[in-house]
Order: sequence, then C-alpha cells, then structure tokens
Amino acid sequence: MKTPEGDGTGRAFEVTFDGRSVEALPGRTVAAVLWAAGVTSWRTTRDGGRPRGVFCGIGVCFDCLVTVNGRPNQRACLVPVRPGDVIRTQEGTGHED
Amino acid sequence: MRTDLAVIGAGPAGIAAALAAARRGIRVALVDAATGPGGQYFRRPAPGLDAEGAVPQHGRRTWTRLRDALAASTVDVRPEHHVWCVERDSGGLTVHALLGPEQRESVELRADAVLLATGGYETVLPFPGWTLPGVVTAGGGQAMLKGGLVTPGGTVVVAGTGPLLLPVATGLASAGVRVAALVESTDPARLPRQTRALAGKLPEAAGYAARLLRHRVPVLTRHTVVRAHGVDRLTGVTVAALDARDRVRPGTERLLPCDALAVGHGMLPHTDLAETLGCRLDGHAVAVDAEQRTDVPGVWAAGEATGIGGAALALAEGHIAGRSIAARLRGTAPDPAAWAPAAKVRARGRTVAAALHALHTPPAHWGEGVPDDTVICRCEEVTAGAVREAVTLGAGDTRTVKLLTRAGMGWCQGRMCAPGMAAVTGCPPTPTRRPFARPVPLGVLAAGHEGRSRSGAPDGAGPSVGAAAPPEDEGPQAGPAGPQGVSESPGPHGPAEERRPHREPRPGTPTPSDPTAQQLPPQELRPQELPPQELPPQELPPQELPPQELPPQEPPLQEGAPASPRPSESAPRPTRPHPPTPEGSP
Repeated sequence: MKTPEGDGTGRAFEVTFDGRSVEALPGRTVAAVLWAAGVTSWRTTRDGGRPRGVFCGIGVCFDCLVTVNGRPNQRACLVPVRPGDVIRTQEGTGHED
Repeated sequence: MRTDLAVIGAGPAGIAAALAAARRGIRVALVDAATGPGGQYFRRPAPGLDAEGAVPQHGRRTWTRLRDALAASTVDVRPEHHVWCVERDSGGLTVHALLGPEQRESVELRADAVLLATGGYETVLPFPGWTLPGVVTAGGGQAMLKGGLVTPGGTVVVAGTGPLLLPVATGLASAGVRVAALVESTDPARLPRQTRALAGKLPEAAGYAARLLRHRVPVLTRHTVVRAHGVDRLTGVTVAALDARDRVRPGTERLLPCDALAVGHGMLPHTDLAETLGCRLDGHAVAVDAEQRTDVPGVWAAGEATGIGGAALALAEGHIAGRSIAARLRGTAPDPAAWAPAAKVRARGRTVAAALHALHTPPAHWGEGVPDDTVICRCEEVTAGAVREAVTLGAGDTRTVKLLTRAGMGWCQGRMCAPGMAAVTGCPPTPTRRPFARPVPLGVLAAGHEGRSRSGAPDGAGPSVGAAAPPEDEGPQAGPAGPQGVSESPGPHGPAEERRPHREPRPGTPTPSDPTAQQLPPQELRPQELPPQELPPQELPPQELPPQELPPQEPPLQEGAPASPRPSESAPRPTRPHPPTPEGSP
C-alpha cells in the first residue's frame, strides 16, 4: 500500500497571517493553524463584507476560503500548511487586490 | 493508468470493499481526497502532529485492523485525489480526479468497475446568526478536533438533532472544552416507539449519558437554538423549549454565553458522481440492489452514499460490494450465502438507521420561524426574505427560487442551503444534479477537450488531461466560482449534453426534472463592491489543545458516528458461517 508520510518532524514552523507571524505545526490545515492562533475568520463576503471562517470543516461549504501564497479561494479546512506560507484574509472574490 | 476496480472514497465502506475485492485477486485503486485513508469516521491527526491517541478516536480497534490489512494488501491507495467526474463508455469507466492540495492538475484512472463510497455531509437548518464565525457544524467541530487537535472555542454549545451530537459533545468535553449545553430538539417521548429497533444501541447511549454526566454537560431535550448572538463572532446563543407542535414556547428563551456553537440537523448522502453517471436515486440516496449494485452497469455503491447509517453499516455494505465486484468482474454470479454475516449486519444497521432517522426528525415548521433578514444561502448571501419574495412572485419549487434569487448557485452549489430553502419555501427538498462534484479549473476542462480533439477519439481514449500545463492562476472555476464554465466550456468529452448519460425517469422515483440542472445559467463574477474591512478583533480566541496537555485517553467506550453500532464488534466476519438472512429493502 502506498500512503503519504507526514514530514514527520513534529517541529513547529512559522507562517504569516495578514502580515503577522503565526506558529504552525506540521500536519495541520491552514484552518487548524489559524484556530490555534486565535483567529476564527479569514474571509469577508462579497456582498455584505461579513466575516466568515470554518463552517463544515470537511470541504463542502466553501465558507473558509482564504488566500494562500497569493492564490485566493483555497479551502482553509483542506489545505495543509507549509513552512513560510503567506496566508491572507480573502476580501470578497479575492481577485480584487 | 488502468485498474480492475476504482473505489472512490476511503472511509469504512471504501476500505472494506477494497480489501474484500483485493483478497480475491482484483486490482484495486482506492482514491480519496484526504491525505490518507480513513474518511471522516476514522479521521485522526496528521502524522506530522505526532499525536496518535491524543484525542479519542472512533472505532480505534477497527481502524487498526483495517489499516494493517490495507498495508498488507495489494490495494493501491491514492490519497489527495479529488474526484470530480466519473464517466462510463463502452470501454469501461473513467475516473477524473484533481491532484491535491493545489487541484490544478487532473488525472484519469480507467477501471472496469467503480464503487462509489462517497459518504455524506451534514445538514444545518438556518437560524439568525448561523453565519457568524464560531458557529460550525457538529461534524465540522469534530473533524477539526480529530484531525487538527483544535477546538472552536473554550465554551461550546452543541445543538440540533441526531446521533452525531452525542459523540461531538462528549468528544469536546473530554478534550477539555466546557460544553455549556447539549441542545437536542427531539422529544424523548418519541423514543418508546423506536425501542425495539434501538435496543442494541442502548448500552452505547448509556455510555454517552454517563460521560455527559461525568463532564457535567447539561442536556436540554425538546429545546432548540433560536438565535446566535455576536457582531463579528459568536458570543452566545438563545435556546428555547419546543411545544408539542414543534413551536417555540414563549417565555422559555434563555441566553447561554458561549464562543462556539456546534450545530447539526442530520446528514445527506453525497450523490453527485452517481447522478452524473445516471444512477437511480431512492430519495436522497443512491439506489442499490442486494449486491450493492446501482442500476448502471459496472457501478456499485456502499456506505452513506446509499443512505445515512453509520460506520458499521458502511463496513458491511462495503464488504458485500467488494465480494460482488470480485465475482462479477470474473463473469460469475456471487453466492450471497458467502456474505451472510455481513448481510445480517446490514439488515440490522438499516433498521437502526431508519429508527434513528424517525427519532431525530428536525422540528416541523422550521422555515416559518426564520426571520426575513436571516441569510439562507451562505455563499450568495440570499436572505429568507428574498426567498419568500421569489415564492410570492410565483416560484413553485426551489429551482425556480434559485433562478430568481441565486440561492444555491454559489461555491457549495446549494449543498448547505438546500435544507433551509426547502424549509423556508415549503417545497420538498430534492437532490440537485451537479455535472461536476467539485470545482474544476477551466484550464483542466479546456486541456481535456483539446487533448481529445487532437487524439481524434471522442470517447475515453484521449491522453490524460493531467499532461496539460496548469494555468497561471487557478482562474475561474467551473461550478462554484464561475458556473459559466459549466455551460460554456466543453467537458473532457465534448459538450456536456453529448456525454451526459441517459436519465430516463423511472416510475415512482422522484427524478429531478429541472432543465437548469443540465446547463447552469451564466454567473457573473461580481466585483467586490465593498471596501476591504479590517478583521474584527479576536476577543475570544479559540482554544488550542496542545497535544501534550490533552487529557488521558477515555475508557474504551465506543465513540459512535451517526447510527453506528460498535464497528469493532459488528464488522463483517465472513469466516463465521450463518444461514442467509432475508434482506430488508434499503
């Protein structure tokens, strides 16, 4: 059987969220890293500009969309965090800035 | 890449099927979107977190057995494959999957048989404040805990209805979170009607009751959350008692301060791939026969996709499907007597599932209580008022409401708002047909079409679309972000109309008949009209669970997913001969 191995280091590394440094543990998703850092919203809606974060937690609802390394519309609950990731709050469609 | 059997979904059903087929000499590829097998039920911390055992895991012994069996098997496990379409042609079946986590590149997998073990997802009915950060689905809160060792807050209310609420509440409590209340809308007086079917579940229920007591979790039955409070994130919920007619009893409202709400009202099967293939549905679930075959040749289904019933039922169905596939691929008829023990588990599991479903019906009249300013469609921000206006204008079904309001046209393609739409409009919820099971970059579709055009083979013989270079940006996505791709971009096999399987309405089957499902109307990507907003201050940070500080492992009480009677004990054991058991209908 072929399965992926985690990077296995278990060592914390740094990523940034809206410019500030955030500690991340390998194997966590972007959403889990942000929750661990006390952040619960990382998107504002297109119409109302309302804050959103995790809702379904399993990739179905698309509420947790976020911009990672300049690429918007990533589902934070699915995307594994990587060292040096630049995570930014996604405003609206994420294509406006 | 070609294989005998492609199993889509590596949860309990998919793993059981893969093992059963592989043991009989079938080449099996087991594909799943996650980074490893297990599905939602056996979700566990990523290897990098090095925290196995830190959080109570569902069915630990069963998982260990399945994991070891997989490792010793010939099953080709393919994680991070996000399947977006399965096509059938004269040469067999083609599974199209985007490779994660980037999901810019698509690969094809050819197989003689496909098992759809796509699982299910949670439903949540709308109420004021349900879009606030801090409000999560019950299963979502559990998934984040099991997979990421994080919790949505320090004080949580668990609410809604269904068997999932019990493991969510006890799981969060044993992870150190204060569970302010477990709010279940079902009337305990309904229980006696189901006692016979649920007798086997009583020890499990008693175990949960003991744990709730131990963690001092107040249980409010016949109650519901009527409102979530907060400006930029959740600060509390108002709960109220329900009367005999499922309406809020005036004067019973009370505020429970909390920084997280885990809420769920049941589950629905994932049926997108089945519907694109043309499989008949039975209500919301994929219809299967006694061998777990759908009505499309070469396509089997098992687990939650065929009806929400929990892990033990999924294991049994998967096992039966795997054995059936092994026999059928050899051109022989399987002997049902060989899987009689699994069939017995399946029959029992379906009885239990039906009883739990009857017990945990969400409150009636839910839609009437939803205020006009409450958002129903979370993606498109469509309010209950707008939906009601569409009904007033003459929309007689949820699809017309969708066309008038955009509710259900967003990223999630109506998965999250369908129950709320049904509740507010009064129209019965019907499965929505989605050509693609997930967003697909337009570049992938274009590359697939181009590849096929070049090869001159319209059906199934084109080069892998994965060979194409990924686009610079992910660009507009077919489906959620830009459904114009669905209507304007040809799929990998040419225009969508040409490759869509025939879907003859069958007598007695609620078949979607919406022309819009065939071709989604173009959707404008609206420019951001509002100025960027600062993130609201995070006054109530979610609580992190440092792995080393987690409480010791709970006693081996079986954690249960919805309607899951003890997977470790009820898993199929084909070595014990039993007489064939008559099957109940699905």
